[in-house]
Amino acid sequence: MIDETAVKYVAAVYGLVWVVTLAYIAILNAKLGRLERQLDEIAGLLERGAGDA
Amino acid sequence: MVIGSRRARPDGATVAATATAVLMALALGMIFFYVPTDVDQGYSQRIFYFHVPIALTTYTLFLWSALNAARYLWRRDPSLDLKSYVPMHLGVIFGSLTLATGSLWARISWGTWWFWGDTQLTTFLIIFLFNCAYFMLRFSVEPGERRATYSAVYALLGVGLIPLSVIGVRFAQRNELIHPITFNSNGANMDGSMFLTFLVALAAMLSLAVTMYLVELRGKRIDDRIRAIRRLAEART
Amino acid sequence: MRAYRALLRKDLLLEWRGRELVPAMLAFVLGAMVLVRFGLGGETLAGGTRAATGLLWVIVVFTSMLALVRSFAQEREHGIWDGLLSTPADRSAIWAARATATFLFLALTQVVAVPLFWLFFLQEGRSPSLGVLVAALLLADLGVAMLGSLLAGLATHVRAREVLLPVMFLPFMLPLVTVAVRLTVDTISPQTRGFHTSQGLGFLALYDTIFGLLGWALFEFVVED
Repeated sequence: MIDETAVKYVAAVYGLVWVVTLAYIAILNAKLGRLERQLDEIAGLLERGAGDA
Repeated sequence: MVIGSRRARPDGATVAATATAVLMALALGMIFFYVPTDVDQGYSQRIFYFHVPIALTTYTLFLWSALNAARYLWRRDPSLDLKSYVPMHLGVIFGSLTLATGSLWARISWGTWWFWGDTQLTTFLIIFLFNCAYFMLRFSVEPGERRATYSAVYALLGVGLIPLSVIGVRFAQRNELIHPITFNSNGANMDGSMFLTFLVALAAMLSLAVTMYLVELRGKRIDDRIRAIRRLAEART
Repeated sequence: MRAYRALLRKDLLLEWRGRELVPAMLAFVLGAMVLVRFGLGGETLAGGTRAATGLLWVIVVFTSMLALVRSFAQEREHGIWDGLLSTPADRSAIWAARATATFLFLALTQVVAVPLFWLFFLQEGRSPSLGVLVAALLLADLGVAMLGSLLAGLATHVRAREVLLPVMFLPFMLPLVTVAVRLTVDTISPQTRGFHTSQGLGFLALYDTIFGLLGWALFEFVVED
């Protein structure tokens, strides 16, 4: 007979690894967003520069 | 045209991620469907296949960080500072995960969330605190060569800390080892299929760490390049 | 070698003339012990002399941290640091001199603190062996002084250094305190007296050796500018 609480704990450990991995992906995604914004700013700078020149 | 673009070929991070996916799938399959239930500890023993590989990965990351710290002090290459910092950072993540999974395992096995008399727990906690102190140091110094040097010095001090913690705590506690001993001087103390599952799980966790390492490095490199490009753009306008 | 002696003389003379550091340490030790003694009222510590011995080590560690923060702060205040660095002296000599001076100050503080501690806390029940305690204290002082001088050098150039130094120091203190407490507490009861004492002292010596070597090797990276 498999003990039910034992299964819950194993599931909790398994789930924890998932959660941490997904959190990591979310943080990376946020970083990509930040980088995109910076690229937009740079593009803006260059366009303005090209407009003046 | 993008400044400094690379040729298109499978880069390290992608290869590592693919390997991780395969190994992780294999490991999970083995943990839940292949390996037999432990006679002594019951179903909850399966936490072992998560907890120990994560713990070992934490130690590996730590040693890798210290190695690159030494190389940085030797060669002063800024990329080595990054290669020392990122594993340390991942070490905090995996370390926290080790403590959390260990806590859960302790709870179901011994009834408590923590046990101060246990040598391995205490040793790990010491290393984890060291890890956190590293970050406090890092965030207290302005980015630059000084920060890199100080981080490297502290990382190397940590290498001295590991063996001392292990020996010291073992001396001080001398309790009956409640922490399940799976590896002793006779080799793996477990059934063949369990050992195989453990190895696969270990490979999966290490592979995960390598993937995260390569991805983070890539992210930081992109950070630097964008900063450089921005400076060029500002100079031109 | 000559530089080391000169620097050591400088550190000791500075303290002798200024008398800021050792009195501060003594005040701290005394204050801490009085506070705990009164905090306990007439009670003995639960756990008796064993707990008291652990407490002694805690006080020792805090005093050491105080000593380190203060001594490097003094250097900065008096602008001595830059002067030192402009000399052609081997950087490690600075570290060695600082470590020796700190060791002496710690030992000096403990000469006063240990009898006081005995008076305050060890009157009832058996006491830990004085010889082992003294040996352990000296070895621990050495380790603290060596590692602490290195870390304090790191912390000087950093913001929030009063907070950072104890934080950086703590993980390294843990194995030291764990062993020292176990070592000295074991000497209290006759059954465990002499048991593993040499191992414990050996560990402390190993600790000192490792951090001595690391401190000596790494200090020049800390002070370059």
